[in-house]
Amino acid sequence: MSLHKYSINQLEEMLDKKEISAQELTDMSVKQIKAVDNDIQAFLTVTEEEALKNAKAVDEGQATGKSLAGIPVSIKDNIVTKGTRTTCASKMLENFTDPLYDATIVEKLNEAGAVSVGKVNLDEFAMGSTTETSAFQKTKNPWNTDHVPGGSSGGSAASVAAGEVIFSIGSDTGGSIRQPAAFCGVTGMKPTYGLVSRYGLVPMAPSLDQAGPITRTVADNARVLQAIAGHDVNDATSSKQAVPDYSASLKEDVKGLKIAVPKQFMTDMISEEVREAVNNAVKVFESLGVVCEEVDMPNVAYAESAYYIISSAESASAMARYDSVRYGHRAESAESMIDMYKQSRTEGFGKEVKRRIMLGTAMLSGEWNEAYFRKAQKVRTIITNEFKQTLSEYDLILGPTTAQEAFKLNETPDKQVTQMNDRLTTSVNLAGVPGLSVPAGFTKSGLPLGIQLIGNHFDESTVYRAGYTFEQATGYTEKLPTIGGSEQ
Amino acid sequence: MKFETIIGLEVHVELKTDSKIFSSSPNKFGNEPNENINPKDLGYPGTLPVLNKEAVNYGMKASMALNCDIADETVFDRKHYFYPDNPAAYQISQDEQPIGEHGWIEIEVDGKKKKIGIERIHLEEDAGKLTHTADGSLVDYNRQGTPLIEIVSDPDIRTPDEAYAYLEKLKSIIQYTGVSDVRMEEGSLRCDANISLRPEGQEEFGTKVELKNLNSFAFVKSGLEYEEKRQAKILSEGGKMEQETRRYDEKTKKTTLMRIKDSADDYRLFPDPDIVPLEIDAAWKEKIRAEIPELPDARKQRYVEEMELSAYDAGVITASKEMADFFEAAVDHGGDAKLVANWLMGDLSAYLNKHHQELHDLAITPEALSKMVKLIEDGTISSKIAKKVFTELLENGGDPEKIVKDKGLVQISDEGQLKEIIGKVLDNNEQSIEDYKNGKDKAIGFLVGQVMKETKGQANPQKVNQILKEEIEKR
Amino acid sequence: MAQLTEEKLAHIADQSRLYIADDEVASLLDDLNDTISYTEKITKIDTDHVKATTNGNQLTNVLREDIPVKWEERDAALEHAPEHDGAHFKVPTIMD
Ligand SMILES: [Mg+2]
Ligand SMILES: [Zn+2]
Repeated sequence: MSLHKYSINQLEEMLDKKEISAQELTDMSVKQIKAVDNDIQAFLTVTEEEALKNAKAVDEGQATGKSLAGIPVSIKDNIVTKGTRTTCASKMLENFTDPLYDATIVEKLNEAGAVSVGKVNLDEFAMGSTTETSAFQKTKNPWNTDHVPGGSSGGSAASVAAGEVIFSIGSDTGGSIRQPAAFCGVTGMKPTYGLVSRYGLVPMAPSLDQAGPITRTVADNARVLQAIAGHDVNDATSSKQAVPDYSASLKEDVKGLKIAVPKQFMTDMISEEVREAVNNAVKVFESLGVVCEEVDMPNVAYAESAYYIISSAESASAMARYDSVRYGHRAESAESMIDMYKQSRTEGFGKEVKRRIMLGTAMLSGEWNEAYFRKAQKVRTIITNEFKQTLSEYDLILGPTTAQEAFKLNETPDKQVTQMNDRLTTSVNLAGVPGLSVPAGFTKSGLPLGIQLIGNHFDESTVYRAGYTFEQATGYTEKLPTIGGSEQ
Repeated sequence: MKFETIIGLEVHVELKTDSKIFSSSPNKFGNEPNENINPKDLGYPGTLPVLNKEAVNYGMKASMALNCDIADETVFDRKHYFYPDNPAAYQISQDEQPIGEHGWIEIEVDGKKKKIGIERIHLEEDAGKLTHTADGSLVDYNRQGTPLIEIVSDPDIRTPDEAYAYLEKLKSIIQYTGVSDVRMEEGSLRCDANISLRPEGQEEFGTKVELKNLNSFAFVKSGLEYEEKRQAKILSEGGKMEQETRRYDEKTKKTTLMRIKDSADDYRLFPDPDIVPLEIDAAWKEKIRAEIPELPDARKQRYVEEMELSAYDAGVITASKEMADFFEAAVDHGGDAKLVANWLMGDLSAYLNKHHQELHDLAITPEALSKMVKLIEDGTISSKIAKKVFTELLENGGDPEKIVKDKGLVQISDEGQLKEIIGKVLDNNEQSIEDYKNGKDKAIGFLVGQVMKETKGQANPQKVNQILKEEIEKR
Repeated sequence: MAQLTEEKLAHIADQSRLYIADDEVASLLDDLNDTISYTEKITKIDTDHVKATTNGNQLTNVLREDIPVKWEERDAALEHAPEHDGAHFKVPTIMD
């Protein structure tokens, strides 16, 4: 039996009927990691012992009735885990062996009885879209190991696609859950800003960051989000809205829903195969009684620009605390305090992180603060209003998750492609609305593609309902990658 | 050339909330290093600030007491600078919209009253503390995150004396509101001063110098006095001032250059995305306003009008809330206002100064002082004896009546008893009687002294005088 | 069109507390200026009367009650530090 084949619903039933134990499930997860992770390189830290101990507790009934009891999960290594090394895939935190506290998401997963088997790779401090900026290793796409899994939650998406875990928690500042989900043929949700607590999620750009689930199926995704969503007193930006029952509305009819397809998401930067996948999705939805219409969202064309400015500025600020005083890498030969700061940071951060820090510092410095940063914050308002306007007329917005299939490893993607990719996903973060990437087919070369469903603030239910219906109608999720996908 | 001095003060005041402004660590002074910290105070990745409501209340209260307008909406900004005492490498402060603006306080120097404007009061977090040693600097983050208000005066202050008066008044008002201990020795009040000179009649400000390390009000005054002279000398000789930060040296009473101010200082400020905007509605403002107690100026006026204290005495008594509260409680217990005030301003203040203590360190209660004053008024004890009673009250407390009784300090006013003692004294001092009768008035003083000696000072002096004269006449 | 100069980049690096190797300057400058040029288009958008979005959502007045909580992991935190001296964190001597 292989983990891929089962949904959380099925595993719950099997656990209940004692057809399988949580320890066996954990064991399968660990075995799969041992079998495939040499190739996939998703995991930075495997916590086998701890996982087995926690699984035992589940089997002994300590997690009975809990929503994710015994389900193996991997956690992106920018989410802090008490007692477990948290590196953000950076040399800066290579020896950060214990953050001394748990992220709220981690607490919630523990409460739900989920069994974490380890921490997974990402672009350093989540800055990247290939997981190649990790200071430690390059994660491979389980569908074709010559390709990247996407990023920054590449380790999360790959670990789910490779059947190493049932689900993973990633984070998404500008597409970092949805894009790797699309590249790896899995399902990734960037929830409404404020729905999932950011306490313990190492910030990249705090006004944009949201953690969320990466799963194989939409139904699994809804279950996981249910477990990690909700108000947290430790996060002042955490919403107090009641969390609806996402699973309950999955199967409701989509007939009569209205979906907008923005022109600005379908430019000629979108590859033929992706365009076909989106058009196909439109046809699928229409066949189910959904009204799909092309719409104009002109300001979305500014999304990636506003994002580059806002996210780099906030990143520069967020990265300033890594000064080697209280934790983190300290250069050995520092001669003075300032030299210690500069040497430690220059050694501890990779190229991309340093690039973004400098870009962000520039955007906040002197007159540029007003001319660029504050201006971009106003443009963000305009973009948000455009989303609100469109979503007041339509239930959902549909578009590609990415402009084309997963990049090849070690290949710098074309700038214009990157900018288009960024537009598709960062606009959603700027507006703070939820976005779900669901598998939407394959390229001729066999790489998965995804479509993105975007909903109104806190309307994850409708997003999930449409995603679920699409998934059931198409069956793209059924297909598994060859690596680790075969029965063992 | 004659110059006009322009002074502006920046005062940081620590608010005495129970927990820190953005983390739940205890907000305490004097603990072991790094005892009151948590991951947030250490700038651990992923930690988030959550604003302490009480810190906002306190900031608002102080701002109102200093006559500021309170913001309807405000945000908290990140102010970036790298320093080991600043764990996130940004300080959370209020840049764009301070909680209070356009305030003022009234000072009095040489009998002249003057309003000093307050430009702004903003809420922010304090930094940790650095200790420098030969082989490195040590960091203690206990203070990191202590709520602060920064009170920025307008450049309305013209003399070091005015600066001193401003600080005294500021301290007094904040002390009344109860939001801070305002103890400079403990760093809960800290002051930086900006000073510049301009030729008299010129409107444009001169180049200002910032003074640091001013660890008492007296040092602020002394530092400003030195700086006033230094700048006048440079300018008179045709020199130019540089915009610099200077350090006051307590020993030499001089200022020395710390650094030339870098115009490139750029804090890259922006609203903290982790903290949501704060809206302060009328109801919240009113609630806080209602909690502000009567402030020193209002009390002073009341003491003058209702208790007939002199303006000077009322000013001294009301400068410290503790003193004023003590005074009022003693008067409420029936003590004569003028006498109570005299004891507080005289013997009690002298005792506090001598022993470097504060009123609450003493054992005496307002009730005891009022009782003691009554004992003086009804002649039970003399003022001289009262000093003994008072010392006992300061050191050990207790009930004045009981002290007087136990120690046998009751004044002897009984004529029979006095006549007997006086008779004995006269018998032994024939020469003095002679002298007195021959017009040497001084002799009577000697005789009174002898009676006091016999009675250990407990004889009623008026009565002694009167009986002595009568008895001498009889001889 | 606003661009970074070599001089400004040096200032930015200093403010960021980073060193840039001499042979990295040119390519970094190119790279950053490329992005800056690309974003330039937003400066043309009319944002009069538009309020800046500073947070990820529209909450206001999220406040905490003033209740102190003692943390028990100080010693572990000190052990995390690259250098500590007793109960203090330690850094190279600071020259003002
Ligand atoms: Mg200041
Ligand atoms: Zn300040």
